[in-house]
Amino acid sequence: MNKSFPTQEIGSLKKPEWLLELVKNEGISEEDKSKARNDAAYLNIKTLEDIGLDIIYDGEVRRVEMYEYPVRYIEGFKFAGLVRSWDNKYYKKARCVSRVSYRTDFHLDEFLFVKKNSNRIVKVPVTGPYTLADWSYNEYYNNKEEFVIDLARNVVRPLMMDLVKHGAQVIQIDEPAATTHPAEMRIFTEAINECAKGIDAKITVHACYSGNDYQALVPYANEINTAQFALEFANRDTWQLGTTDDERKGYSVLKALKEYGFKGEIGLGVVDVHVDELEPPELVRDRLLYAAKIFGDPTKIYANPDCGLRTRTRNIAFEKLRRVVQGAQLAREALK
Amino acid sequence: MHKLAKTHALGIYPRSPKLIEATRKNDRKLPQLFQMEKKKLIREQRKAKLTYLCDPLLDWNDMFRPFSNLKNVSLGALNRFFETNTFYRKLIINGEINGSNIVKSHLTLSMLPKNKEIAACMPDPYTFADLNENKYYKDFADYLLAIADMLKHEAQTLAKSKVKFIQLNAPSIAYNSDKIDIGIVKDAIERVKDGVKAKVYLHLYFGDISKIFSKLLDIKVDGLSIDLSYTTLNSLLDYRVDNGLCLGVINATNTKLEDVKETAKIVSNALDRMNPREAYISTTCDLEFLPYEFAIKKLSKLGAIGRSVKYE
Repeated sequence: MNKSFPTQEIGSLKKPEWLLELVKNEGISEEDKSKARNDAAYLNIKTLEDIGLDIIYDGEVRRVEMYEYPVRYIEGFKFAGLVRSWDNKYYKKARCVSRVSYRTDFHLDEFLFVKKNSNRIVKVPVTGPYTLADWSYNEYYNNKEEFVIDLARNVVRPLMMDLVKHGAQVIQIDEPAATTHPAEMRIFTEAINECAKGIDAKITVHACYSGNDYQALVPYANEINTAQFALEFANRDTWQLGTTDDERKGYSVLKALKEYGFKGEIGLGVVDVHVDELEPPELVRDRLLYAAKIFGDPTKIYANPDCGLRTRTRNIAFEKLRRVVQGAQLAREALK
Repeated sequence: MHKLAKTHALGIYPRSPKLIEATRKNDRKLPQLFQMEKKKLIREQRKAKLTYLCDPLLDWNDMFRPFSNLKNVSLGALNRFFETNTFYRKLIINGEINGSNIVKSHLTLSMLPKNKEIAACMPDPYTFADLNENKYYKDFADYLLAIADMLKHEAQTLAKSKVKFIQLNAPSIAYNSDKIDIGIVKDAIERVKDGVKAKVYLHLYFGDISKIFSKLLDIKVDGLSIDLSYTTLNSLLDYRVDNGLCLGVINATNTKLEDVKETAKIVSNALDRMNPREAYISTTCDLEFLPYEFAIKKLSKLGAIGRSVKYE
């Protein structure tokens, strides 16, 4: 994209209350539920377009959650039960009990709907093989590497190929577990490269909240076959305006990436998805300008939230995205 | 004459689907439900014939949360708990900390049968210091020793309440084994243990401790407890252990069930060779990393392996 600071969202948005109530209602037919999901997806698409984002999806409105949803469709997994994330928050964790394989293109319908109804660049988020393995119990494979690579080769790559066959041009591989185990960065690298083999589309990788401020990722960044790393930074940054190192503490790893010679794009998290406070557009601007100062080329700095905004109310989420767009515009003007 | 191994499964247990649902709805009968579910899990421990019984800590959100009630301590942000997908809330130490029977007051000891041995756990001082944030003490050594003093008070209170076995959970020692200053850690742990009239074991999990095992054996506690999913048993076999030894053989981070005969044989052979003064078999870490149904199955396996282990 030949535009400075293109804007994008990362994936999930909170589902509208009316949709949640409707899909839980056993008295409503599957056909009507499907129509309701289409309506919600359409609403998200048009809202994201109206906000002015360059690259969009549908807020992942048809997916239960980024792990449970794909696992439902992958051969080889069985759900084991609920495991705590923190306090009273739980997620459904699966066991891998046989060799994993791809059954069906579980994102195709939603992708085709977005493609048909949007005039923007469509970016499909897919959960990555490393995270799928890391968040599961491995009862079948001899080791984690075999498990991860099989998921990449037998599930995620075929899924991506099917999406590309139907017109997908940008695919975001979501890997929140990416740097959780620093000693396994080699496996992670091989997994993404296995996914990318033969894929004729732009591939981006989104990693978030997996600890160590991406220090484990930096030495591998050039070896990973992706056009872009979309990363979280804003939650660790100050709210002071300015483009000095002290003012932009949360973005310190950018220098390390630059020093390692990383030449790809950065999806720069410029708004924190875990707080309701709204970032002023000027703060977004300064975060973008700081990144451009380090990397040089503002067309390689994409503005996005730290992560999907599903933890915020819809109003807050949309307002945060508006700040992303406004901040990017201010940054473009500042560079004129 | 053959010696037998003892068993326990300490730490936070997973909540049942029913309890999870109730916490989501913030059910007004939640306190009673917690008690009922605790009783159920204690029954499961008894059914598995574990030597030591414990409170399953269903109402602990993480291993540090009760300590947020200490004076001069506040709750901070969520942090990943080592390399798991579970998060804990970091504590912020804003002033001097002192023991105040926090652990005991967060245990339901009364529901544990009086004719059975009772065990309990709490963080070791290094893990406590490492995973929380000090905003008061001038340096790490002062901070660590203040925590050790606080935990000593907690351990003494537990021992006076008929807790016979206290496990100090020390994942930070195992995880940071390649960079840790064992000297200062040793002092802090011994400060906790000194004068406590209960067995005190140091539970090392989430990291390979084989390279520092000989140094750990010098720490004056009643025994070491090893997570065998990170440290291979083979790497320890050449050590003679004069103190107690607890082998964490039930993997509490994987649903795959252990083979009783095979595991018991491996453990028996290892104990024959290492010849500890007393031996325990346990889970590798808290059972909360498993779904409820699998935690129950693992308890049963633990009991069965414990009964099958015999060593000279």
